[in-house]
Amino acid sequence: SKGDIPSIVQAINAKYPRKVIMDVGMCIALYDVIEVGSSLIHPADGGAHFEVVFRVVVFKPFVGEVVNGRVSACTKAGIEVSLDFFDSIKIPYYNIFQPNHFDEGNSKGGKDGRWVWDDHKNDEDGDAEREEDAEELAIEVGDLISFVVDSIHFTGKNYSIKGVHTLESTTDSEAGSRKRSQSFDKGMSWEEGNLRKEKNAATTTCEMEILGSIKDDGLGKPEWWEPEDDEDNEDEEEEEDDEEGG
Amino acid sequence: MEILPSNSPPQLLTNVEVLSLLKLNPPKEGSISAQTLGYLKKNTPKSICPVIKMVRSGDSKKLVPDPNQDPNPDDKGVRNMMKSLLRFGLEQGEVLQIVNLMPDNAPLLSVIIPEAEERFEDSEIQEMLDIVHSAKTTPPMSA
Repeated sequence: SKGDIPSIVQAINAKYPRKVIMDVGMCIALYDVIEVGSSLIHPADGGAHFEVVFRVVVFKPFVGEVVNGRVSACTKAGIEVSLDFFDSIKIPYYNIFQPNHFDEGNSKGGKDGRWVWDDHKNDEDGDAEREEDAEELAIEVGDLISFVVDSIHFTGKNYSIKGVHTLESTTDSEAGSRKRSQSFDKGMSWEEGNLRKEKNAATTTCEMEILGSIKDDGLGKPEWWEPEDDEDNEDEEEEEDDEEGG
Repeated sequence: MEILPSNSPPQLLTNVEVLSLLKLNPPKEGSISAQTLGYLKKNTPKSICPVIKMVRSGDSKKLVPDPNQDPNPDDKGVRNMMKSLLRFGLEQGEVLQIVNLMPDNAPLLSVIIPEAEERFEDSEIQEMLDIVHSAKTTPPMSA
């Protein structure tokens, strides 16, 4: 007989959210159930098993997509960003606006330094571009920033008593290239394998990491790019008119 | 688990659509779906947050989504914006980002739309920004 849909929905929503699938992304929630097969009962297992075809909402931005996130850490290595539901986002130091400098401040090796954009005060002619008392352009922990996705990395590990099999996959901006590498390490003893079984520990894990960039104009803190007020422009025009008339 | 091959590419969903889906199927507190809902609520302008019509469920006092309402309620702000953007011939990913981010300045729009200066005139870029601004300031539908 066909399975009970609400139970199937409940089971899927318990199992898949937060699960990362290699090259697909991180599952968020069930989208819909397309088909439910007949029930099967496996030997020595009293439960009914159903083959279910379903669609799931998955989080995986595409390379080149602009995303908003909140800064969770600022270190010399770069900036870490959080989306509340996903935290493995890093902006390495070489992908941060240039010229810049890292201000350790009071953090002293901690994670709450500041990245300061030294958009130099003088243009090519030596004239000051920004007012001397203009606010410093800096990024620190807690700031909302826009960044562009530079590359996405998946790392899958399969644990067995034979060892740990690691599979890595990367998608980046070079024509969407995808590199896969595999490695096999002997690491798990027979006892460790049995212990994993007893604890029902996952034998296959997968993680997703996003590398971003804030090098281009329009990225970083949104307020840096807000259009100037019309009132400010009118005031400047009036001042220029006064100077010309005088 | 097996990923089944499909003739069509994966369907892209905007933040608004995922927000609508999660509001229709309220997630458990503390779950990743609830965290996603929190992020989407914070990052989606209130003027385009889809409003789900609620009705009383039988004799109980509990409110549930109206079963007669379309699962993706007609959100005037987003739909009008997407219709207005059609004539520019933007790629699907570009429209998705405009709906998600609602850019209000030309530099951000230039990052979203590659080679924007070559593909569009300044007046067309300003027109796109005006369309987004109009969608942001359209009052939300009442429940």
